[in-house]
Amino acid sequence: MKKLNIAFAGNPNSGKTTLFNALTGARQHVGNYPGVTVEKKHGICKYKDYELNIVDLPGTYSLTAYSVEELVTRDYIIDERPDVVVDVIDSSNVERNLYMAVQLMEMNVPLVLAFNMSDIARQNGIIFDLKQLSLLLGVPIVMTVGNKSKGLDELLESIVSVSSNPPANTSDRIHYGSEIEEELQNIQRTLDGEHDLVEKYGKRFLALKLVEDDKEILAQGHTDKILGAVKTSRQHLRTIFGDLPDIIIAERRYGFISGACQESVKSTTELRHDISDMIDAVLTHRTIGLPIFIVLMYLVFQMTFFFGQYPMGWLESFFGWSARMITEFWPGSADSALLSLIVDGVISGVGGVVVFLPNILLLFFAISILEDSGYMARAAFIMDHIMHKIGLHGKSFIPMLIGFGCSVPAIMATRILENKRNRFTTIMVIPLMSCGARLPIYILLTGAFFANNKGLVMAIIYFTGILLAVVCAKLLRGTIFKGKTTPFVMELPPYRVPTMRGVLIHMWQKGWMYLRKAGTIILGISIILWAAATYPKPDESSLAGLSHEEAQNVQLKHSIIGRVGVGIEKVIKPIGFDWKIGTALVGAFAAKEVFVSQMGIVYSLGADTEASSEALQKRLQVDYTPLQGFCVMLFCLISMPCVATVAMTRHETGSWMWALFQVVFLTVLAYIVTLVVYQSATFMHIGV
Amino acid sequence: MENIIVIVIVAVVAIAVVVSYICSLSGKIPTCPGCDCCKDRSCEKEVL
Repeated sequence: MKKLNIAFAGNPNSGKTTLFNALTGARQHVGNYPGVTVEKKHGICKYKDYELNIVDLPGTYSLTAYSVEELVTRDYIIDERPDVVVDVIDSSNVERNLYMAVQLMEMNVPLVLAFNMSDIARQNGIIFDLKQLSLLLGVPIVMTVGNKSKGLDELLESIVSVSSNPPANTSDRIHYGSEIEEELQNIQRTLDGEHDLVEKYGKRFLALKLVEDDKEILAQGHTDKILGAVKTSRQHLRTIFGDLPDIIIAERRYGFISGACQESVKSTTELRHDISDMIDAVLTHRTIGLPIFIVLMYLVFQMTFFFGQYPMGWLESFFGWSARMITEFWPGSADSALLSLIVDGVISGVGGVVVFLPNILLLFFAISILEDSGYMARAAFIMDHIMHKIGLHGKSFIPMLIGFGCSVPAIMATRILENKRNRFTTIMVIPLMSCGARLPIYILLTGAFFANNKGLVMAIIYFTGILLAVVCAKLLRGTIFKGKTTPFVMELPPYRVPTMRGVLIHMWQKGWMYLRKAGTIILGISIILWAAATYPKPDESSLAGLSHEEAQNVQLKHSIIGRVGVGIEKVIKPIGFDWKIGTALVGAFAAKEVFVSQMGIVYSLGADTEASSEALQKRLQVDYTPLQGFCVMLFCLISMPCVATVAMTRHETGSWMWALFQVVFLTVLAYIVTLVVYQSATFMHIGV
Repeated sequence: MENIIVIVIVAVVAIAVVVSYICSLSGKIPTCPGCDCCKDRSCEKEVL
């Protein structure tokens, strides 16, 4: 007969002892744990060819070593290493009881969850999708009713099964958020020398307990290097979150539980109790959750426009004044090539992009608040239902949300997706999430053509991107990336008031990235585009007798970029674009913002030196219709991503083929969508 | 003289831009914008 050591753990009043009694009957021994007055009960149970030596551990709510019971329970599991730990859960209060289960998962012990008192849970109107919850947690779950001896055979069968086939590593199932994960990795790197402790606790659990400031673990004689790393990590986390790391980690555990329960536990009666749950009842509601998300995003865009217009005006005045001053005090002639390079190339090009910095800062200020408060996790949760329907998991929406900032880190963030098909599908559609670089294009064009509905049009563009991403993902998952999905828990961390410092740091990171890009690659491309739009110059005789605007057009058409634009005009004409827009689209492949700087260069060459987006908007209103403006936004949203994104796609997929596929797929899609919109709106006389 | 300065500036900038894009596409220089958007330094980690 094979012998197995089994430990029964669980919250007080979870029915643990009743279950223990039901299994062991009279075969029990009562004693004390060494050195403490905590009662130790163990008994024998025989099942098939197995003799189970079951220990009934003290009832505790967690394993944080705050009380002697918690310490006894934890030490027993770590020191005695039972073959299987059975965590007895009160099914009628599952969210609170699962906290301990999560801690046992962190310890990576062979675990079985006994959902006890399941009859009471049923009476309370709680319905479990046990298969789903078990998949999400990565541990088997059995329904039991201890006082009626129900589910005992299933529990014993599960114990025997787990003892011979323990589940895969459960310690890294819970993701504590990028900042904490990063610190855990930093500490784990310092633990290489502590072989005995690592062997005993496991590296991740040890690092976690050190970050949590667990006195018992801290007192195990660590080196100064480790203690120093722990101190630095704790301070860093405290600065970011404005709270103790142990509290944040506990919150993340509850977030994990809440996410798992949202997907697998349904209640026919109202059992929710805390503020986060009450807010979630509204914000993640199946019917009104999505409209709330749409309205919130619309408000964010309106706020971006309203508050952004003032500093934007100051920056425009500054660049206009700079251009005038340089022209006025230029020592050479007024038609100097160097003067034109500085004023028309550098100031128009770079200035045209930098003026949108306040909008970028405001947009990311608002998004940072939504992220840090915990709302963005809910947005991903709302999308979870839709994502499931298209064969992806809601977790795919997290990289997509990052894509609102920049596609490059968003593609990197797809690494959280374990399933390769999910990952590749997500990578392919990420560029459809409108990145910050496209914002200047939208601000310029909505200001020119939709002055009264700027926020609305912008929201339409953003949601068109999301919708297309969803449709394309469905298409890809049904064809090229066919296959099953793996289950994940969508963490729902409790709501927090974001710290001003955290929000400002995130906002500045985005702003700095934008400024750095404007000062390097956009500066370089603006200079090249200026040269390409200036040379070769036409004969003076061909300009004779022409008006200023006519001469400007002739000069541009004669230049390199003009010839390229004219060359592609036949292709882009059906979607409502002329050669000038064509030249800007070519430049936008290098970096999306270049579209704006290129239009600035095109319309300032030979004209006055005012580098104002308002002046540019007026010129655009003369040359184009609102429909054309909308189609340009649509094309820029969907068409091929910038060079950096292509490079990252190649890097992450490990193949040029996928990078090329992304470019061709998105550009063809952009052309088709824009063509349909332009031709049908023209036919119906909308916006023409 | 002024035209020569303009030609040199444009040529140097063009070479710098082309070289930086070639390096970026071939993976010689990191493409990560350093914005910390991903927040987990995933660019430094191995692909799953």
